[in-house]
Parts: sequence; C-alpha cells; structure tokens
Amino acid sequence: MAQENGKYALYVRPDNTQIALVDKKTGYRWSSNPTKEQLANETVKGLPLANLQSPFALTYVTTSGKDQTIEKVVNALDPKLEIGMIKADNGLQISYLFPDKKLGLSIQYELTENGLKVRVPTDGIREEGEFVVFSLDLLPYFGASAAGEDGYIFVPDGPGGLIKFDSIRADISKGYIHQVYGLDVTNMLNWTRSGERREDIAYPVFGVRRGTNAFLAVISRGGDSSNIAAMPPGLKSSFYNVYTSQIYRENYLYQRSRISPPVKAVQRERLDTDREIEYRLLSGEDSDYVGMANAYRAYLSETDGLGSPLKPVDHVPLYLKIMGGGYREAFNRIEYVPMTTFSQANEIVDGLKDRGVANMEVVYYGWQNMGGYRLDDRFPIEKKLGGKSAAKKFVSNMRKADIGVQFYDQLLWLDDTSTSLSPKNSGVRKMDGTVFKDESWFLSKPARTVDMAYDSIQELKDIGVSGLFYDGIGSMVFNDYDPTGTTTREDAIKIYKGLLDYTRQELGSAGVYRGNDYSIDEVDYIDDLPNDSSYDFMIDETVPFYPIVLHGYVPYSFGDGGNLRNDVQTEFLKSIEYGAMPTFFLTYEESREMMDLNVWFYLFSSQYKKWADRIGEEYGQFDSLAKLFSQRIVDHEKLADNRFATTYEDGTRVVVDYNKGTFVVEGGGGA
Amino acid sequence: MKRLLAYLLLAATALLVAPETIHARIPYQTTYFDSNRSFWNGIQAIYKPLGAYGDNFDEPVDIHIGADDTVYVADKGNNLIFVMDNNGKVVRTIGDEEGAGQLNSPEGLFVTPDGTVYVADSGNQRIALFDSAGAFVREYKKPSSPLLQSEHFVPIKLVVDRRGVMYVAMNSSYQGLLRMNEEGEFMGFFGANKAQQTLLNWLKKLILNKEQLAKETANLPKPIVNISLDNEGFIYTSTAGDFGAAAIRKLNAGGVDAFKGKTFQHSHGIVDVAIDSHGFLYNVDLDFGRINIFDRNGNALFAFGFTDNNTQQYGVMGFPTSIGIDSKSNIWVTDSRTKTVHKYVRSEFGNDVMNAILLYDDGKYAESKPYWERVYARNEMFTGTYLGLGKVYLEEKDNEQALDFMKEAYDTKGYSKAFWEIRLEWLQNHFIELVTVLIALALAYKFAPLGVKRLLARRPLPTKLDRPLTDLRNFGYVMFHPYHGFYKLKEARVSPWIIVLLLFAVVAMKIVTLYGTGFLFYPVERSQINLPNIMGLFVLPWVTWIIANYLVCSVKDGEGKFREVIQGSTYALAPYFFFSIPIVILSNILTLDEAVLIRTLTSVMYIWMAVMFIVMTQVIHNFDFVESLKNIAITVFAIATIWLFGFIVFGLSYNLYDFVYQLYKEVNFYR
Repeated sequence: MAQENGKYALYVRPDNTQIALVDKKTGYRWSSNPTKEQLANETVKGLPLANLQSPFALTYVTTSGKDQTIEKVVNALDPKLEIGMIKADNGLQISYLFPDKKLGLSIQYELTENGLKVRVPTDGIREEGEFVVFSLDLLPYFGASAAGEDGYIFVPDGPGGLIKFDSIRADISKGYIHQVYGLDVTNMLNWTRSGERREDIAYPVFGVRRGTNAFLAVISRGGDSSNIAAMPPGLKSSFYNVYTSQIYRENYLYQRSRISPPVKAVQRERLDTDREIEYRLLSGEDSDYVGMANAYRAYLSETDGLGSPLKPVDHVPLYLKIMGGGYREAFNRIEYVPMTTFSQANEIVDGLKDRGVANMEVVYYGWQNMGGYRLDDRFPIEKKLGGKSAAKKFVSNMRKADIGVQFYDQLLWLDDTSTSLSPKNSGVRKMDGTVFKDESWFLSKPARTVDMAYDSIQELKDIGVSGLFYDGIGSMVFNDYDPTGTTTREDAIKIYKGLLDYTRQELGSAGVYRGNDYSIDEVDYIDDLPNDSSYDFMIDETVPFYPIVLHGYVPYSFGDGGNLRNDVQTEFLKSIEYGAMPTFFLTYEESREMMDLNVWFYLFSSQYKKWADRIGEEYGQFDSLAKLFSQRIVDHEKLADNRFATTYEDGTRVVVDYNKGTFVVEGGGGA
Repeated sequence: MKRLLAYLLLAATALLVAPETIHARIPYQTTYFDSNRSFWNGIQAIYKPLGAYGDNFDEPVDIHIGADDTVYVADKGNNLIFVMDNNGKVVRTIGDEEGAGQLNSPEGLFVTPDGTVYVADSGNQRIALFDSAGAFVREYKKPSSPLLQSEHFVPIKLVVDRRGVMYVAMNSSYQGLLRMNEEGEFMGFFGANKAQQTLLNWLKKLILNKEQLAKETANLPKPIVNISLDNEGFIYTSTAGDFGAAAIRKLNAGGVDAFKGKTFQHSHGIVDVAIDSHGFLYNVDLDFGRINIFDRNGNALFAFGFTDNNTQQYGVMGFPTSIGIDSKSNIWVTDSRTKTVHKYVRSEFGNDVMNAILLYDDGKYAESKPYWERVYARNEMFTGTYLGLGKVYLEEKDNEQALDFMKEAYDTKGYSKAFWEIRLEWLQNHFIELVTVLIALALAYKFAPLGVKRLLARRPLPTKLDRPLTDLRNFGYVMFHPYHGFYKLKEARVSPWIIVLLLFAVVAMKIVTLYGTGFLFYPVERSQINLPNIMGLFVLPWVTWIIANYLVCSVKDGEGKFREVIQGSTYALAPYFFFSIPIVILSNILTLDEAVLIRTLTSVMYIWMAVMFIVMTQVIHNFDFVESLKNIAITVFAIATIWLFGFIVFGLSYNLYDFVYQLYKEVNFYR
C-alpha cells in the first residue's frame, strides 16, 4: 500500500510499478494492468505483452543518425530501468530512468476525494542523450476489459460515444485514436492527409464501465495536446482499453525547396507543458454514462469551468440566425448583395412573434462592410442593409421587446488577396516556421484575432448590440510556431477565453459554435453543439453525455438551422431528446440569390416567407418544454429501439419515439 | 477543419474559394453537378451511410445484388463467395468445400435472376458455376480456339445475358470481352475499347519506318476494368483513364456504344458502375474518391461519399472495388481496405429528388410536380428544380412562372416556348393598340423628315454645322454607295472629332448589344460579363487592322494615307451600327422558332461589313479588285503575326513578373 484516504487506497507493486486503486466502500479494485489470470490467455508476445504489464508506454525517437523518424517504445518492464519512488503526504512520485538511453520521466500519483490524480510534470522528463520523447501512453491498460464483459468504454465522440464490450461491430475497426479539439492544422501531415469529416473531440474526457463500477477520466491539464485512444481486442492485445496518449513531439512535413517533395521530420522542441489526468471512481447507480456526465459536471463546477445555472424562463428562446447578405464579383468589381436588411429583419422578428414565437435571440450575419470582403476593413456597417443608423434602430427595437441581438464575426480565416494584414505578421506559423496557408487563406494568430475583435466590440458597443457570436473560437485551436516564440494550443485557449470574457463585460453576451469545454463558462449560447457521432465503425451507441453536462447551464442548439436539416423530423426529435433550443437560419430574399455569393454557409432554403408557419408550429412544440430550460438532465435511457427517455430534475420525462416521429412529456412538477 | 480541404477539392473548378463552415453530420459532403456553371455545388445528403458489414472479410473485390436483393460478395483473400441478406448478415458462403468447387482468388461474380452464381475464379483460371443453393455445378476452362492460343485465361469480371452467353473481362486484356456460350465455346471478342489516336502517333506513323515503329511502345486500347448488365440486356463497361472519355460504355448486342464515347464527370479512375431499374447509373471512382449518380444519358447528377486511406467511418471508403444497387435503391460498395461492404440508403430528400428527376425524364411532368415542390421547399440552389418546375408550369400554362424558372435554369428552349405563349396572349389582348402604334410609327416615319425639312427651312442651322452634318450623313450613305461614298471620303477631310463620335457610337452600340440582347439570343448572366475583356477583343482587331492595312498597303504601293485608312475603316463599320439596332430589338420579341430572322440579319451584317472593308481598301489605296483582295489577305496575315508577337511578348513578360512576384511573396510574407 502506498497511499490511503477516507475512501480509497492506492497500491503499487515495487517491481514493475503497476498500480491498483481500491474503492473502500465497495471493495472494488481497479488495476493499471490486467492480472496474471487475465493474461493467461493472452496471445500477443514480446513488446506488446510487456506493454500490457507496464503503467506506461513511452515512444521515443533519436536525434542523430540517418532516419530520425523511427519510433520505438520502452516501458516499465525494461530490464535496465532504474526506478525511484518518493512518498509524500499527499502523493507518490515514481521516477523512471533508462540509463542506456539517458531518457527519463516521473509520474506522480495523488489520491483525492473522488479518486486519483496522475501527473506527468514536464520538469520530470529527462532527455540527456540522443534520444527524445515522442509521446507517452499513460496507464494504457487501466480498467482494461475482456470482450464479452458487461460494460462499455466511453469516448468523447460527438455528444458521447459508447464502445460496448460485447460488440461485434468493433471487429472491423482499427481503434479510435483522435486528438482532443481536432488535429492541428499547422502540421502539413494533418492538413494534407484527407478531407474526411468528423466530429472533433470537444471535451477531454473518457471512461470505462465494468458491471456496476465505473471511472471517468478528465484530462485536467494538457488536454489540448493529448490523443484519446480506445482499442478493441485483437489490435494491440486481447483487451478493450482506453487511455490518453500525450503528445510531446509530432511528425511533420518539411519543405526543403519548392520543387522537391517534402521530407518527414520530427519536431525538435518538446511541447513543454505539464499533463494531469483526474480519475473519478463511480459505482452503483452512478456507474453509467449519466453518472459519468454528472461527475464531469461536478468536476467542471469545482474547477470553475462551468458558469452559473440558468434562470427559469416562461418560454424557450428561439435562436434566429439572420443572413444579412454577402459579396460577389459582378460587373467587374466586388458587389454586396443584401439578403435581409435591418428593417426586413425587424419584419421577420415581428412576423414570428405573430406566429407565437414568444422568446427570441437574434444572431445577425453578413453585416460587415461589403459582407466582410476585407476582414481588416469591416466598418462602417454595410450601407445596403441600412448602415449604422438602421442597425441602431433595429437593435433598440429588439431591446424594447427584450430580444438580444448578437452580431456574428469570423476572425480566424484571412484571405491574402483581400486583406492588408500580412501573413508574415498575422498568420499562424507551421512547425517548419513558415506561414500556414491554403490557397490564399491563412489563419490569424490568436492575438490578431483579439485585435480585430476589439475593433468590432468598440464599434458595436455604440450600436448597442447585446453580444458577439464568434466563429471558430469555440471549436478550433492551433499551435503557432512563430520563430520569436511559440504560442501553444493552451496559450490560444487562454487568449480566447480572455476574449470571450471581455466581450461579455463590454457587450453583455458571447456565443460560439460547438462549445469546446474551455469555452462553456464564458458563453451564453452554443450553436451546433456536437449532436451526432462521426459514424465510426467502433462506436456502438451515441449518447447525450455533453448535453447532460451542459443542460441548465448554457443554452445550446444543433445544426445550422431547422430549415437546413438533412432529415427534418429525426433531427427535430434529436433536439427534443437532447434538450436543445430551436434555431433557424433565415433570409428575407429567396436563397437562390445567394447562389454565387461568397457566404460561408450552404443556405439551401432560408426564405422567411417559406418557413414562417413551420417555425411557429415547431416553436410551439419546443415551448412545451419551457419549464425544463433551467433544469439539469438527471437521467437518459434507451427504452427500446428508436425510443428514448430524458428525465429532468423535477421528474419530468420526455419520451421521444423516432419510429412514430413524436414525443410526449410525462409527469413531474404538474406538467 | 479538414473539411475545408474537402470543400476546396470539390470546388476546385469554382471561383469561390472561401472556406466553408459546414458542420459535419454525415462524414462526407454531397454535391450536385450544375451543368450551366459546370461545377459541383453542395446539397443535402442524397444518400446516407447506413453501415459497414464484413464478417471476417479479407479482400472483397466484387459485388452483385441478386434479383431478391441478396448480396453476393467475392472475397479474393478468403477464396470465398459470401452471401448476405439485405441487412448485411452473412447467410452462407460458396466455394469453401474441398474438391472441384473450391475457389482460388475469385475476382468477380455474376448471379442470374434464377440464382445461379457464376464466379470468375481467377486463380484457377476458370469460370465456376454454382446453383442457387451454393452447390458446385460445373466449370468453364479456357475455350479451345486458334484465336486464343497466346492468351492467358484469367477471368476477372463477367456478366451473363439471358441466353446464358458469358461476357468475360480478362486480366489486363485489351481485346475486350471474351464471349462464350453456354457450352463453353468461344464466340469471339466483344466491345474492345478503341485505341487512342493522338496527333503524336499519327506523326510517328507518318515519319518512322517499320523497324522504328516496332520499337515504339504499342498504342493499345485501355483494358476494361469492370462490366455490368442492366434489365434490358445492355452491357456496361467501365474503363479508367483518358479524363473520363468513354469511361462508361453502354453496349448493345452489336457492341455499339449508346453513349457514343461520352466523357463522364468524376470518372477518371472509375472502378465500377451499377445500373438501377430505371437506367440511372451509379459509379464509384478512385481518383475523386466519390460515388457518382448519372441520369440515363450519362449526365452527372450527384456525388457523395469519400475515400480516405485510414478510414474508420461508415460511408468513408478506403479502397472501393465495386458497386451494386438493390431494388430498394440502396447502394452497396465493397471496400478492400477496410475489408467491409458499405451500405448507403437514400435520404428522404434523396428520394424526392431522384423521383422527380425520373418522372421528369419520362416526360411525366404533372406527376413530378409534388416531388419537385418538396425539393424546392427544401432547396432553392439545385438547378434541376427550376428545369423541372419550369416544365410543369409550362404544361399548366402558367407561363409567367415558367418563364421565370426557365430563365433561372438557362433553358432557352423552354424559355422560348413560354415566351411564345406569353407573346401570343399579349398580341391577342393588345392587337388594336399594336396596330395603332405601328400605323403611328409608319406615319411618323413618312412625315417626320418632311417636318424636319420644313423646320430647317424656316430656321436654318448655322452654316458651320454643314460640313459635320454631311460627314455624319455619309456614314449612312457609304453603306449603299460604297464606291462613291469612299471616294468622296478620300477627298474629304473628316474632322477627328467626327471620327471619334462615330467610333464612340459603334462602341456604345456594342455595349447595347451586350446588355440589351434578349435572353434567348444571349443567355448569359449579364452581371458576370467581363466588359473590359469583351470590349478589348472588339476594339483590338479593328486597331490592328488599321495598322496592318496601312503598313501592308504602303509597301504594296497603295495610295492611302494613315488618316484615310482610319477614316475609311471607321465608315466601314456602318453596317454593324445600323443592323445592330433591329437585331437587338428583334431579339427581345422573337422566339427561337423565328431565330432564323436574326441569324440572317446577322450574317448579312457581317457580309456587308466585309464588303465595305474590301471596297474601302480598293478605293483608298486605289487598287484594282484582285489586288485589293490579295492585299487584304496579306493584311490578315500581318494581323495574325502582330498578335502572335504580342502574345509572346505578353507571355514572357508576365512570366517574369510572376516570378518576381512569387519570390517577393515567399520572402516577404511567408518566411
């Protein structure tokens, strides 16, 4: 035994440093590696077998010699390994040194009220020879389970994905390995690899359920540079396992000249950040994905990562996105084509009110001078929409009716051909130090984004808008390898958080797409929250983990808009099931007129006239759930195929039936 | 953000390069082909991924959907034929019994409507036959024929027609399909691709002698990669390469291609094609990595799906090998990289749009209306809707609407019909007014000159205007009396401002024709006209003509002075000016049925102008007729030379400019 507190005990095997965590209440033992008995039937041999018995697997590369991109793995079973253990009051540090490679690392374990914290301090990593750390799989087999057991792995795919231990589907999979917040665009290998579309991981969380015991792991530090990996049996071992692979260096393509093909290389500098994973143990009732979501919500509120609870409303807000217009090339110049002027927007809002939409929030797009053709020259507000005076009038009219108006701004992607900002000074740099660029587009440095947003805020404050809606801020982070100093994803996150905070202070509210975990305590609205899986072979079931965490704290909606769904009824029901708010993306003019406009959205059908009645009707259905707006989701279950029930704090149950295409609200608080 | 790249790839032909923020729900973007703009544009999902199946598949290479929707998959790696039900569950396997029925690397299969399975058993160099229960019946070895002595019999794909005749594609054979009857007798080759005739080959044949020719690599036809059979007995061959030319051929019993060597969109790397019961084509292509839908005439409709080497997602293919479609319009694709068979189902929207197109193709416009309307309600961007609804409205005699829709679809034929109806109606309602106006105009034409004359007699114009007026009047006079007119001009010294005025009038007339010509005779989006370009191309020939004509004729002892050449060439433009007026007016009131009038007028105009230039050259330089023709020919040659020289100078200097610019950018912006 190494550590103990009121609830848990931590055991360490001195020879191979395997750990075990015992829940004193239930007596259940979580071990970092499969037991001897479990390993009896193991078919893998050699290194994979050794990895199976080690609490970590360290991938390293060499910095000298011919091919420096060959990755090799070492683990705690290495015979030459020197192990040191230091016990302190609140923790235990195990340091490992591979003397022949002059390579070392330390892992710290600390028991908490809820489970275990595992830390890999960057200062503990020793790279004194010609070998350097590439990546580190931490506790790769913690909670590893055999096929056929009762339980599942939880991975943060979309709103939440389950990989069941009795699944047959996983057989065709090569595993689930994805970087939190998506791959980094500044690595050409990622950018050129493919154009597949998937739901990037929005929150650095994973978990395992075995019978009535479960754990939830949150990457509390360094999530932005971690992969979350889940493996089916038959790939690296005969177990199901899930873990994080910490990224310290990456492969990238290095362009030596314009003619020769790029060369693969490994980053020189190590990503110099601490990593920490917090395991929270769950049992009994709480051992399912709802319990995991509760645990994650608790974690977020303990660490101030979740804002304050929402206040109850009489009617649910409908998030009305309005496309002002866009630019196109016509008559040999750039021309702005208005789709909805400010006064027409007013008309739309009034019209929807007449159709029973009692509560609305407006997000207004395309208001910039020339629709944002020149991103560094976005003011004055486009004259064809009515200019500043019309904007002021619209916003104040809305304010009188208690409707907030957020203005949409896209400050991430800059076009070299239409901005005077130079890529050299404002563009994000790739690993080889050159500016990342796709055609004429480059990515704005986070600081530059803040700069531009500051301008917007100052200008829009005068108009009285209630907030800004940022594209990209809540969904995309990247490293910036500027030769004068790297801005890591972690830094970018801090900068973005600051921006969101400042926006709220100055204007009142802020909104983002997708709502990656770092943004949720700084925003008042999340659009396009992850709501569907990435269609992975490996994922057996998609569950509303993230909605359960957020409901009652941040209002969110799904998809581009109710008028742009692929499947009208199914996606509507999904919004009901997952507790999302209604949203529509409208224009006053026919959307056909946007055919050759440079707008960033496919608005197939957005004409207000066509949709008004349908919106009124759908809003009525959403509004029947108004009292649930500020409540947490306490349970979610699958009743039958295509039938799901979501339960809220006051006991109200919303049962959604996809076969029939209907939903019913049952019981609770006098409904 | 990799989806950005996907978008860029898709829109490579489009002008629009703004990164799209399309929020992933289905792991690929569906696009439709807009033949008017000839680029692929985004649309809602037509097909959605349903699943991937593969119980221990190793290398699925060919698929066939039986008449009862049973799915047959040839697995080359497992040496088996898998038979699956329509839900992807394997119900039995064929070819695993030891003995005569055992398969060896089967690469293709075909199932007749009665369930007999023909297998291209490549490894055994035979065709194996199994009955509907999966029992081995017989085999076909290489047929004995003197024609086949040097051929290896390695069948890879095959179809069997109603009479039991087999059409067999052999491994990289350029001879086409081997035809074999039920008894296994050779019936000749069928449907070989044509060898590609290039200019270079033709030159080689012309210049090289026999020995040299023999050393050249033979110019062989491309091998057929896959074969399919439709309900009517047409045989479809897939051939990759040549930028999609004759990628799909629809062969009748005589081997004649009904598509006439048509070039197919998205088919450079075609793998296979499937035909549904209505004759629509579905191909899968490796170069573009997409599944593409074509109508019966081979016009591209939609593209969906995606290919990625490391795919782990449903619907994203790794290495597609063949495609099939069942009676419920589900698409099945074998994928040898993921070792699965992907299944795609039509979405609700896809059903509507495909039904609408089918009924439209059949000419059942009235029946297609509800489908088109549903499509139109959800998508205003899809151009097909405008065609379809335009036809519907035309049939319903709702001509105004039809006109509108046909214009949007750039369908001049339909527009012409609608316009004819509208014009007829207008004439019927306004006949009296029309006649009155015409009479009034006729009277005005007759009496106005008289009135003007009288007016002038009473208040004569100042005498200094006499000369300019005569010069202006000459512009018309010269048209009807060219010899006399030009002779008069030669003596007169027309003031430069008159010349400028006349040129200005001609240029203005050109602009009027650009923007004023009716839609039917100039179906172009007027805002997208590149005015400087067109005007440049209009003015430049005239300018070079003057220079060349003057230079050539002064060398050839022509008398004309430079001033006279300018003068004469200006007056020679008279027919263009005077003819354009009626042409523009008529183009707005005529339909395509009366197009001959406009065509005649236009031809007369150009001939007249040519005559004017000839006469001008003759008179001004005082040549005889034959001499002037000769000199005009030389002038035209001189013009060509000037242009060629101009192009070269421009091209080289542009290259130099571009080099310096790129260097500047690279150094200044991206490093």
